[in-house]
Amino acid sequence: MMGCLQKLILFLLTFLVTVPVATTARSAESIPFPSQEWSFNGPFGTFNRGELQRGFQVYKEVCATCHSLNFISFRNLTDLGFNENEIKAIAAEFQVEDGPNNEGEMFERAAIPSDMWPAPYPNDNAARASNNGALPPDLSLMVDARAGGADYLYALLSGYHEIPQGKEVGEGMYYNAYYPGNQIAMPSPLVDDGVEYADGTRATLVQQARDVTAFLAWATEPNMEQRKRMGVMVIIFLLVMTVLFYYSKKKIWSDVH
Amino acid sequence: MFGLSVFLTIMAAVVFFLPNSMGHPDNYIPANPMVTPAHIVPEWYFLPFYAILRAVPDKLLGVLAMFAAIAVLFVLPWLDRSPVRSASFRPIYKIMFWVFLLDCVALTYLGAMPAEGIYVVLSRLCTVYYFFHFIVLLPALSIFETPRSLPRSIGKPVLGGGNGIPAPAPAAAREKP
Repeated sequence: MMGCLQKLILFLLTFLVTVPVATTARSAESIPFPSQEWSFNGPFGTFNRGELQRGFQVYKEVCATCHSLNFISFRNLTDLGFNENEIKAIAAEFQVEDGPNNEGEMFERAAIPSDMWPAPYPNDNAARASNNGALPPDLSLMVDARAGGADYLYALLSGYHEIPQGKEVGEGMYYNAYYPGNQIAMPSPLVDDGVEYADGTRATLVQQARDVTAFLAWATEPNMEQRKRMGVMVIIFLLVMTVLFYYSKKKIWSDVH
Repeated sequence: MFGLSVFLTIMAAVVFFLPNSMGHPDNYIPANPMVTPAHIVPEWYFLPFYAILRAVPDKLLGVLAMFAAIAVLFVLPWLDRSPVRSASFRPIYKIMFWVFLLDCVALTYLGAMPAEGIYVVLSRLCTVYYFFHFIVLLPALSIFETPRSLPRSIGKPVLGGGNGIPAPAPAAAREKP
């Protein structure tokens, strides 16, 4: 007869084989891209604060001209290591619409930390009108919303090359080595030294791509570190519990087996 | 309790460290009725039935086959007429159970693949086997298979027999003839 443990292993194997296949089936269609080392990979991975702050700077100075970040508010930036006064100063750079006031009028005021990050365009149609008909997607969940996540975004941002021989690129489109179909409506957003990092890091294109991808990974899941910390505690607790249960089971059934 | 706690450990590992492993990136894109994804794929636990749905070329029959895959479970008591309930004492059925599980895994895999080429042929074969297992194999096995002899009582090995506690009536006597 097959032992309990063998059955368990068999079921586990079934699960391990089935699920990854089921979920990676789709990404097989896109162009393969290299995977990167990220500080937030793995069960103990955390965000690198310096990387996040640089990435935030890239987002603020480059991406934010077209892409919204709807699910992030100014006060969330405390996670990046900014203090309260710095966040107030960042928020105060933006004007947001508030109201209605006592006269029933909407009015503009400087943003405060509890405001959401202001979108660059009032609506989708305005965004399309200023971008040649293409809609710049919201970036708040971007890392989870693309197969390949951070690796794909990094490959995309650093994947603007010369058009290879024999490839046609439509009008108003740009060649990208990793975008499905190789034609993307977004021109290469990053250039060497396009931003000037506050911490003195040299702003090469790949450095910026890395930083802004890390920032977007944070924006996608700001509480990732808390989730992983909690996970480690829960797993340790459960492992201890499992050992206790195993030995009590052995004791209870010792007469039979 | 030991089994439950092993399961909880594995589940917690998935929940805390791989929360997106069974989802799709499309679920993070705001719904837009004007744009549908290039491929639709259901959640992983629906994949075997999705494979059955796509294996049948006809639309209506495909839907019927998909629901029949579940409905066939409801008539199991009339399909499996074997006098012995436990698979531990049915040597051929035990093998066929693992073959059936393999078939389900294959259907899950095929459900996730695009419906073209070799995948269509394979998923048709697997679908046929899925129904063959229930409709042909189970009734046939219950007629032709010779089960191993049952233990006299389930109470005996558990309670240790002969240590003073009276064993309950033999289980074999309570089994349906």
